Amino acid sequence: MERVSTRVFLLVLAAVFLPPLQEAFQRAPRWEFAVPPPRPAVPSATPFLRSDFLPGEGLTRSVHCPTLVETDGGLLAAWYGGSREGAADVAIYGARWDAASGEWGEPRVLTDAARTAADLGRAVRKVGNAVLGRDSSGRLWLFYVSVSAGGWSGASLNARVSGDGGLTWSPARRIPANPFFDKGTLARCAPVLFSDGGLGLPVYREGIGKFGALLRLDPSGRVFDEVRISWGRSSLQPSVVPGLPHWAVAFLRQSGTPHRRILRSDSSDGGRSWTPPWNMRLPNPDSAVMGLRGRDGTFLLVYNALEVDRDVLALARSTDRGRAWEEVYRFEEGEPGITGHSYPYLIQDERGVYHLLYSWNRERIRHVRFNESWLGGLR
Amino acid sequence: MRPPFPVHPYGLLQFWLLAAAAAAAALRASRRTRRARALILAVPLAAAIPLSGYLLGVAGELSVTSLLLLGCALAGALSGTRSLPRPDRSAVLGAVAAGGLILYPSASGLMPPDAYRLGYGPVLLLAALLVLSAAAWASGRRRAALFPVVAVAAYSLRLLESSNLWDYLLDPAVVLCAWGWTIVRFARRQRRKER
Repeated sequence: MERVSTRVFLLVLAAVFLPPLQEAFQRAPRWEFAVPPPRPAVPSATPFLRSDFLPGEGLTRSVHCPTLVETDGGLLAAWYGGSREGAADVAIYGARWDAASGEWGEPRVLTDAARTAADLGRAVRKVGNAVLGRDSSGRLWLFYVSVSAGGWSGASLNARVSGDGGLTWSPARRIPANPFFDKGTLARCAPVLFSDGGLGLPVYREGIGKFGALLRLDPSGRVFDEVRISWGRSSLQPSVVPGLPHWAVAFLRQSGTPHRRILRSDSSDGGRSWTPPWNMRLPNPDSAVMGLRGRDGTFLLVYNALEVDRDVLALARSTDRGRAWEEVYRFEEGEPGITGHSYPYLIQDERGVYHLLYSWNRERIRHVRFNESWLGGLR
Repeated sequence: MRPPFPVHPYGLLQFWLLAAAAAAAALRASRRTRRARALILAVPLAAAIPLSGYLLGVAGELSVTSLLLLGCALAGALSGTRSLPRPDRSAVLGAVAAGGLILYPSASGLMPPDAYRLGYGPVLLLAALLVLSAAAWASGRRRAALFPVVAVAAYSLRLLESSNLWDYLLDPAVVLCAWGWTIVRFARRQRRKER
């Protein structure tokens, strides 16, 4: 009897352990970024820089953390707004920009705490940072954080997917990525594409530590690997910018130390590992930064160019793959009564036009667009 | 009463097991009539329908290990017998305490190594669990041996939202309980030695 039950147990062990072991052995994700080869800028186009505000002034008292993705025929922007950051009435709003007319449509609610609670079957007290992205099959992803109890260190990641360019969205699903009751994971910057078609989502943790990481997601949005970009208590909101299939740079916000600088970490193995973060020369007043590699190979960085506040929002450029940086323009110089311009989000559309969104005094979202000719003319 | 959120099956199960185990232990269910025991099971279930979403919001999905321990506690309180023999309980809680020491300090992000990453594509972790389970069985702790088996089966079926094996094995609540149990046990041993 004893021997029989041991045999049965061994059979059960084999039946339960072999399939996941086989799956784990066979899994071979490609660590290679999808980076299109550089295309020369279009020098003949008339240089331009234009700016406007997204509609919805007065819709909510406070707006913050804009995000942007290109869609067929234009752009889709999202941001969160409510009576104040972290209030229960905060919702994630979206608005469309029509490339033909150059006009923004009226904002509409993409999701809020009640909708997220209904989708996830659990209490949700507030929503926050949202990030839009597009996967290799053209589906749009809305990643956003929600909190059931406490502050941002109690945040968890969620995602909704749209197969029709953002007209309709799937119910939210949770993206667990943290062993502390899945609390303290947030996203802020654009996802990156890998050559196998998968998405990589830069995230950061706010809990015992403050650090950046890169989540690798399968087509259903499940995390199948995670790589730390930094560690410790002072780096967050990584903006990951692939420059070559096996090389990428991550720019991180630095918090908690005086005389802060933008932190930088590099990966030369397709994002599988990252160098310890080091201080760049560019300042950082504990605020979000956003990097982008333009399609002509130029690296751009939008950041607050002061050590102590967020009044000045500047553009830095590197033409030698991120070695040397120079400030080339200031979108905002700072003015009395305006407390800050922050959380920049920069993309380049298919026609080569750059679109920058940022939170303007936390009251409005500003949209700045410029082309390669304008950028090329900056000295 | 209409629940404030759609019912999440795993959330309902974890709330019910927690509430029923607590009620059964507090009310000494094994000494009650059959009808009273049925009520001890039914009332927490009724409460779980509107309330489980709050626990799920705050604590997320608890690990399979937590649910198995709660199930054992509930069965024991209802029957008046020990559903998890003492050596088995020691083996499970000892493994949970040790696993928590490996996982949580590194997952905090204060240092570069990241044990949580081992839970994705987890060849090493699965191999360790296989050895642990076989060793527990060989040493006669047969119920303890089934804990990793059930957790890995749940992982293969992706019963939880997470795709990380650690989340099927541990959660902060069960790790804190295991650490507390280890400290109390150590203190008792010391006291006995001193006598």
